[in-house]
Amino acid sequence: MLLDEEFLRKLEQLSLLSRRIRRSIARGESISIRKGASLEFSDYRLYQPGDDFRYLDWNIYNRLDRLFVKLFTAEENLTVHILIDTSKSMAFGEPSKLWYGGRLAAALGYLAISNLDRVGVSAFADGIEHSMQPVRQKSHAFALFDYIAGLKPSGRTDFNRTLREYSLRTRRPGLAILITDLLDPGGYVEGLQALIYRRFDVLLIQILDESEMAPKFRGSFRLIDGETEEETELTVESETVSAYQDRLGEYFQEVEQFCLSHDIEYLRTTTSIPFEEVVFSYLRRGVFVR
Amino acid sequence: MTLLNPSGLFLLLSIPVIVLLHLFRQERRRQEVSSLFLWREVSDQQSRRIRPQLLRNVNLLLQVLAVVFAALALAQPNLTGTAGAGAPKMIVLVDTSASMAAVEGQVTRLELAKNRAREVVGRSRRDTEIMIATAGPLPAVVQGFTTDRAVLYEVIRALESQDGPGDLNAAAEMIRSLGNMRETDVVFVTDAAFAVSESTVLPGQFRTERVGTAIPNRAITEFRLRRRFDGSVLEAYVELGNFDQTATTLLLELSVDGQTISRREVSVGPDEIRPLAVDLPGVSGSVFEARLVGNEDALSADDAAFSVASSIRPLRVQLVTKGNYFLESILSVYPDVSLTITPTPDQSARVDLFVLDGVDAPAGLSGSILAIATAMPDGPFEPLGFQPINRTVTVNRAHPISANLNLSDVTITRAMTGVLSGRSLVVAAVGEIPLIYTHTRDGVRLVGFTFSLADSDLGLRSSFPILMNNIVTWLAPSPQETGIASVSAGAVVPLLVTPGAPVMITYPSGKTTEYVLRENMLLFRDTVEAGIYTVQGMDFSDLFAVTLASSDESNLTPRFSADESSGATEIAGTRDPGRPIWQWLTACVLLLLVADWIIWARRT
Repeated sequence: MLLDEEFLRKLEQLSLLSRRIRRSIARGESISIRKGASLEFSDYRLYQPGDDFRYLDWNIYNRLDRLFVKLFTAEENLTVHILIDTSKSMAFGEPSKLWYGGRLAAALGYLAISNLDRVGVSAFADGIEHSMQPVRQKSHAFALFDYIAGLKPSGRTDFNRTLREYSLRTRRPGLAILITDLLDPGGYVEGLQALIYRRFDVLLIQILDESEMAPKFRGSFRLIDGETEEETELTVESETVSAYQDRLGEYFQEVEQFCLSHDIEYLRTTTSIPFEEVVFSYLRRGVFVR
Repeated sequence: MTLLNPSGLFLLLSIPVIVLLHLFRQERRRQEVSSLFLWREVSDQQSRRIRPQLLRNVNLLLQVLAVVFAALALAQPNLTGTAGAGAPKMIVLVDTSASMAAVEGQVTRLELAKNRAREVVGRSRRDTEIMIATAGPLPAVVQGFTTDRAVLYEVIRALESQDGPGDLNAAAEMIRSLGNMRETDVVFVTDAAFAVSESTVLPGQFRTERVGTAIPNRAITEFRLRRRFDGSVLEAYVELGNFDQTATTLLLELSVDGQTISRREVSVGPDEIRPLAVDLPGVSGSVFEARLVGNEDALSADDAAFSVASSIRPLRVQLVTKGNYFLESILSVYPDVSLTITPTPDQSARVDLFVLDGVDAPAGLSGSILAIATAMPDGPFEPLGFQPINRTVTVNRAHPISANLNLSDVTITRAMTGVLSGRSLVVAAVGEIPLIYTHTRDGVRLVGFTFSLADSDLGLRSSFPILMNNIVTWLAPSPQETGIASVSAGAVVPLLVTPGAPVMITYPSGKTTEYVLRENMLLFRDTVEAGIYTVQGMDFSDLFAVTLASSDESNLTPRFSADESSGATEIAGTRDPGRPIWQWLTACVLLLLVADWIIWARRT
């Protein structure tokens, strides 16, 4: 089983937050166009001309002799799209990035189901390989786990194409959780932009192996790409590794900058960081989970 | 540059092996990475820089270089110098050994050598600076570098042969000691009647000019007197050499103080050296001479040999002590020692050796001194106190006083601590504390003990008489320890003299030289005339004999071949190898290997 029971119990006490929900603290006149369970009171503000009289709070007017309108938070049915990278590069590391990402996907999926959100999981490489139809009942949790456990690494990554394709075919945008190593020479910008244009909230979780952050091997090597089997000859010295790490740092910065400018939540982790810590600490810190 | 061991270059054959090993090692290992896209960028950066490309092969390069340097180091290359600027230089080294006195035709070989030397000087460029040196028993520079031909000719004309064997090795060392002579022409004018050791390092651009031919000679090649154990009977040992292709009969005459005591005919075969022992019972006298009578040959200097058997002059020892059983006993049993025991030093007495035992030494004492637990005023040791000794004594084996000495079983309870002059030599010590030291400065020849015999069991040990004998021999050596003084020409004769008193030495030729020394020992080196030397001191008179007696010199046949047409002769021996540089090459090898390792470590 991907997750033990104690961990699941802890997860049940958390819930996923979509930015859109956080953003949609609507004024009284703004009614969600989506099917919502109810309107939850959020706050007051002074009446301004044009506001809907229906949302004036007459009790306050009686006490304070001032007009206030009530604000409500729209409660939507959140759809959580978990897209997990199953390209060959995710098989890298010990434990593999896919194994680590799968557990993360399972945890986040369970968390969403526990909060009665719809959860769909898709595996992608150079396109959407296969998907699990969205579910929202807790009874589907094991099906979700089984699906995730059955994911096998294969193919090469085409991040942009995959996300473009996914954004187009999804009718109900929501929170897109991308679990990937983001090591795609084709880049990530177009794909992420496609999701943003389709009004997805995006949580990008980049998983790397420690050996990718700080390679230990030195000497003359034929480096083999785990996905494409392409080779390049390189004499790896301490200076080479430093250059690699510098380049990796630049790459991280580029990703961070892009995510910041596009309102994408970005979390980077390595498989050496305990998985529970990522869920309970890092994701909470990033206000994705409360 | 010359290679002394060219076979070391065979190490270069290992270079292909190293290259092959590198080729095999060049097989790059496979390393799977999740994605190449970041690595490619690094690889592109790397390929744009030339250094990593070089580094890839730099280990091979360094290793090949290390092998090249190691091969060169094994080949022992020596720098023979570069051509210096300025006028050319030449050293004319003239053999003045005894064999050069051999007569060829109407003139001696030395005259022939002088003529050849003049020719060499005359053939040289006018601006050639020429030095004249001799290679007799005592090599000497008789004229420094000059271009003045008149001076050179005069110096050559004045050269004389000496009654001793030539010493090419010493002459070569002398020339090398003059400075960088690698580019200097050294012309050795010689009769080649000597053997040259392969180990002789010939200086400069060395060549020989041979004079003389192979001529027969008969000689006394050895003459020694020996006193029997009881001292009563003298024995003479004589060797007669016949350096000729035909046998001959020689008439040997032995005489004492001019009186013939023995005359006998001795048959000697061709190229034979015939030993002869002659008992001389009841014979007494001082100057003994062995002579070949009627021997008309080319060299007369080796027809006679001398020895002196004089009465032994006792060593005058003054023991200044308040009573020391061990010292009194040991000094009194030495033969030929005249021992005086006194509680205070008596400087007015004629003394060869002062032994001061725990007394106050007077200032200004000079000569040979053995100071036991005695602080010498202005001496090399300034005592500060006493310190108990509980460790093993270490002995400086290089010092002659420590010959055959074992002090490991000696117990010393305490010794003086203090400051010892840096010019002194420590013979025995415990840690930093000197126990026995020697000092030879300012007219003093001193052996010092920093401990008293009363604080030690040294007097009870078998090493005590050995140590005392070594000390007495070192402090007061004498050529007449056995009462018989005969040395080979060119040898050094140590003479015990009175400091400050004149000493007159009369040569066999009648020449006299006077010496006044602050020390009590004269090391007389000018033993170049065969015959009897007289040493006349203030209160003594000694004789010693100098004799040629050398089979090497008496054999007048050239030992090495000569190109008669040019007169130039190839000589055995080792050419001046120049300055060795293998140490530098070895250092380069080490540096290269260290660099190789550093680069390898950086890469891995």
